Amino acid sequence: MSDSLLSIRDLSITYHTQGRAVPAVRRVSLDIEKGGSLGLAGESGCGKSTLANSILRLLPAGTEVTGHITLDGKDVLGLTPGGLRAVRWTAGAIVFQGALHALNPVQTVGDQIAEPMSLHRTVADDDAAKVRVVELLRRVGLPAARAESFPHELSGGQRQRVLIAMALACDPQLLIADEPTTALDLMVQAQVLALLEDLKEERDLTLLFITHDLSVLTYACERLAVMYAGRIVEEGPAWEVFENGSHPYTRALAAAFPTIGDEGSRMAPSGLGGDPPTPGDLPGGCPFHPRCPLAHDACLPAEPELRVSGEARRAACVLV
Amino acid sequence: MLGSVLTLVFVLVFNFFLFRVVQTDPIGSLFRGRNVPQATIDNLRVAFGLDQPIGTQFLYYLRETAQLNFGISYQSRQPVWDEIVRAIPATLALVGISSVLSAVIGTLGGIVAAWRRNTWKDHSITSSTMVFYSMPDFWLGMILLVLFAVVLGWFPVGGITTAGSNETGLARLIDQAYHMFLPALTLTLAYLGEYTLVTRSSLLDVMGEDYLTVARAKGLRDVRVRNRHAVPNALLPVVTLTAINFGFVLSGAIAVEAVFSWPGLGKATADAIRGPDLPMLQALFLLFSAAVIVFNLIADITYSWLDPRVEEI
Repeated sequence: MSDSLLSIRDLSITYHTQGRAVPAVRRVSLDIEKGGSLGLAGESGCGKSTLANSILRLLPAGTEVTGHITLDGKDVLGLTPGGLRAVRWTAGAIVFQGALHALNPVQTVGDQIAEPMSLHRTVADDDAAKVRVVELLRRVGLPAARAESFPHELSGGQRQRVLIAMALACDPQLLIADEPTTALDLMVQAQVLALLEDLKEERDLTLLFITHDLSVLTYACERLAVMYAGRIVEEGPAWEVFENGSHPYTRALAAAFPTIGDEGSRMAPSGLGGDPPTPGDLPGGCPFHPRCPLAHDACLPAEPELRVSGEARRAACVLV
Repeated sequence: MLGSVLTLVFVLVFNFFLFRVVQTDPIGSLFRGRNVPQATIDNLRVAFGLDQPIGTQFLYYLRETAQLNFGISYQSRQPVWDEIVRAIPATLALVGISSVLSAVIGTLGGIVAAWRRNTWKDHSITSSTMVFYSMPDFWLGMILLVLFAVVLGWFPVGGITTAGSNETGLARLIDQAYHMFLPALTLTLAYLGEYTLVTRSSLLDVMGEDYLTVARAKGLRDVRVRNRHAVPNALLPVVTLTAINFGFVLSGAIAVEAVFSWPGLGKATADAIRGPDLPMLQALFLLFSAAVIVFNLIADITYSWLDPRVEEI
């Protein structure tokens, strides 16, 4: 795909902790075209945040990364330190999770939003930066006076809005939203989602949206990729994947959410038994087989590769 | 604020009774067993107020303390306050300079050690400061004294000026600085480790924080991530430590001043304990306590000023 803004090819990421190799992401390939949106879903520890952080090369030193990441035509893994700093926040920016300590507690939020502008010289001077901070705050629904606030003076929803404003500071093309609605109450979640939707339309952003909440992704994204044990196990148009998953894992994830209008599903949303495998100790064959309701002998010999499972759809299961 | 005042009052009261619990005979120690007419002893007891009941002595003590009159030293027969005022500059200079040096060098060392964790820089900084930190300060002082003053003869063995010299102005200042070098080096080395270790562990805590990843994601250089985002957060506990340590500036060097015969408050304390010179000790303890209380208050105020999460005092 030539019009991809972000193109990931055969990406493998291995952490080395205490002499052990822990594969967090394994041979992942992904594309997001300009103006498109891709949702990346999966349980905690499946490698989705590692994947997100690798796009701006934010992984800890000593992490082994192989494959190719092309962002806005630049080979991210081959960039010099200076070239990498120039790409960060301008070609792609990250909306971090507000529940974490993503904001520096001893700086005002206005200073933190303005920081990348003066760094990348996207504004003429400090006054212009201040004006733009106020614009951005207003755009995400916060009063201008909030620029003078410290993070602890804001609610969780307000902090999340600040993080969105901060990500927009240098007009990035790609917006990576890493669990931006986690730990917010439902009303605020809906508001933040609507805001991201609006901003995407208005600024022609390309969106990579990461969460464990499949229903959020079907609402916010055109395409959906499901990750399990460091690999993508299914990919396709968001609603089709959600409603009619080809991979048993996708179906289990989708079934974990109660269906509106179906009383039965609300009383007993079907979950998935067991825990995801430890990245350092994956089961042989299909890594999902110990939890899969449809597992049989064909799952054991080798890990299934992604194959076409429909129009613009791929899945990695022997049953496809 | 109120807490500080209450603490001071408590110290004031406690300070009086502490020294009355000690069973001593100040008049007797004044004459060191020489034969003195009973009339002279009685006169002195009256002169020092020792014939009064303890309650009356306490009221005298409060009244005179309020006027900065701490009585007459049993040893020198001089007003205690004058003795103390004479000794303050020497201590302030020695301990003040050592404290500032150790705070600055120790903190910088801690920053480098944490940022370059588990490298040879970290290991050499951490282990060398640890060695000095775990040594008793008077012992470190004695080793430096023997090595640099006795064996090598580079520095004087003690005192604040060369005996018999009557230089003035700059020459006198240089002479004093020359005398100060070894005791100041001792104290700086002794205090250094605490700052290094506290700064290092504080910065290591901060280095796991998400806002540093955010700062890197924005495209900041490593040095700027450290100086703008990591260090300001990591220094909060160090600021408190510094302010509290400065509270001990006046009293902190008793052993080292004694080793180097440095004529400051520490040596005055060591001499007064030998007496014991109760009025002198009483005044010194009160002064030391007041310094600690005042600097604790300064620590709180600085902290609330640096950390927006702490309410103004």
